[in-house]
Amino acid sequence: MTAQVLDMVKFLWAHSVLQIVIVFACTLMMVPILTWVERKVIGHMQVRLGPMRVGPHGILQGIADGVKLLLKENIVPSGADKRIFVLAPILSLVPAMIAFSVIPFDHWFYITDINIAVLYVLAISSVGTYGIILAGWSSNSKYALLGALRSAAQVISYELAIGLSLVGPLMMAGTLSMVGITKAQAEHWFLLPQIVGFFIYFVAMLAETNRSPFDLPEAETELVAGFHVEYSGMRFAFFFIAEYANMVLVSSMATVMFLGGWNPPFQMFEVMHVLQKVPGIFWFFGKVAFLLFCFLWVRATFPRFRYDQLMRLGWKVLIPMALGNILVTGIVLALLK
Amino acid sequence: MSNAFKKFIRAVTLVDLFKGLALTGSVWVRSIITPRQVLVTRPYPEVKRPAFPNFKGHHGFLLNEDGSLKCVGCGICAGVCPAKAIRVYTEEGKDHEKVVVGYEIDAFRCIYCGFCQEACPKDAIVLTRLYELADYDNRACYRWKMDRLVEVGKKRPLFRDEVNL
Repeated sequence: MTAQVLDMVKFLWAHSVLQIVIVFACTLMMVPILTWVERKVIGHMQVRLGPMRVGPHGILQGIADGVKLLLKENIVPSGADKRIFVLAPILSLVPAMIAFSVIPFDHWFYITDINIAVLYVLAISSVGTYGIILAGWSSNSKYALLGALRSAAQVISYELAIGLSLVGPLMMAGTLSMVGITKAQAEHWFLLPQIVGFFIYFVAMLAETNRSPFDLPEAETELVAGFHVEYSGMRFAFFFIAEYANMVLVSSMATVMFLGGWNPPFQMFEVMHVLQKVPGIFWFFGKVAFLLFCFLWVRATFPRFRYDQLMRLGWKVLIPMALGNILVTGIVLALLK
Repeated sequence: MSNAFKKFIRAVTLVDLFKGLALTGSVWVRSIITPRQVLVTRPYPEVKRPAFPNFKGHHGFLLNEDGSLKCVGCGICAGVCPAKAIRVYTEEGKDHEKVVVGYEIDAFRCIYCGFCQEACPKDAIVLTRLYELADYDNRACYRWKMDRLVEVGKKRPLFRDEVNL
């Protein structure tokens, strides 16, 4: 009997079913935890307490919010395009979840390793924008449409910067496979040689996930809530989960591309090989957690950009910088050959 | 170095951005180490803020040591009240004395000036420091009857000007 169960588990593991279930469950579990951490950290940075009521120090706040959203009514505005209105949250959440299929969490734990993984993630995360645009369009509301238009413009501008900033690590690794890129960083992370690329990626990833200080598509003070203003209940929760899943996704991407994935730090020194005793999955999640903390840190610190400032930063600063970074990287690589 | 060059260096090195991050970051670290000194929020129903010494809140009715009302029903408080918020109901007792049968304060009319307290010859009515005026019965919230006033008057720590009483 136990042998049969073991065989079953082995079969599921070999066909990636088990990994999919674990990654899916973990990503969904991250959302309530992350919302609690966000409110707590930002509260403390602003000398407030943050949530304190649900559970000790409000730790169950995310779950309480989730239950509330589950029980709420799903309202469809009378002027809305119903089919697209229902489709939009799904189209927003699904790409955010399936992009995790190529992220290597450890050398033994990844769902799949395809040779164009980076292109795949970039392509999939662009599809997520359609969810936002369709949500804004089908809501038949001024605020939602304005939020969606801003989001479209923002993502087009910053998708370029994100793509170009990733070219540097790709040139250094010589592969598009995520596992290959991580393995290329076993000794030296790409953080130091690609510090400019990392900076561009960090700024662009804040913009890509519509987070502060680039949260123009959902600017509360101007657009009420932006593209999801007409959504309620579980459909709103889908957008919410998608936003946090995207945060985790871009943080994981940054970890793989610049921070060495599952590799421990300082591996160029013989002494630091002790750090390999810690499982790689802890290193990976430690780095992701730090980047997620940076999201909150930046949100608590900086005010929102104006729309023209956002566009100027994207097109006139980040993209030229990224192109220059590619040029310098190419020259240095050619000279070292 | 020219001013423009300094400005350029500031912009390129993002000094100001990192200064801002350092501020919020240091507040966060301090809030983890010593939360009580850093975080200023009071969790209200558990931790109540004491009222200021001269705060004039809910009225209270005082009793004599034998438990009878100090109030003799003279009606000066009702007369002096600029908002006409006080009503005193009196009747003739067995020995032809004045008996207070009802006392009512309209909390919507009251402006908490404290004239009633100053005018009272028997120090029977006082303004306490009680500021939580909510009630489950909506009528009891704004028509304060005698029972309620006596009940509030028994909470001695809430009195203002304890010395003068």
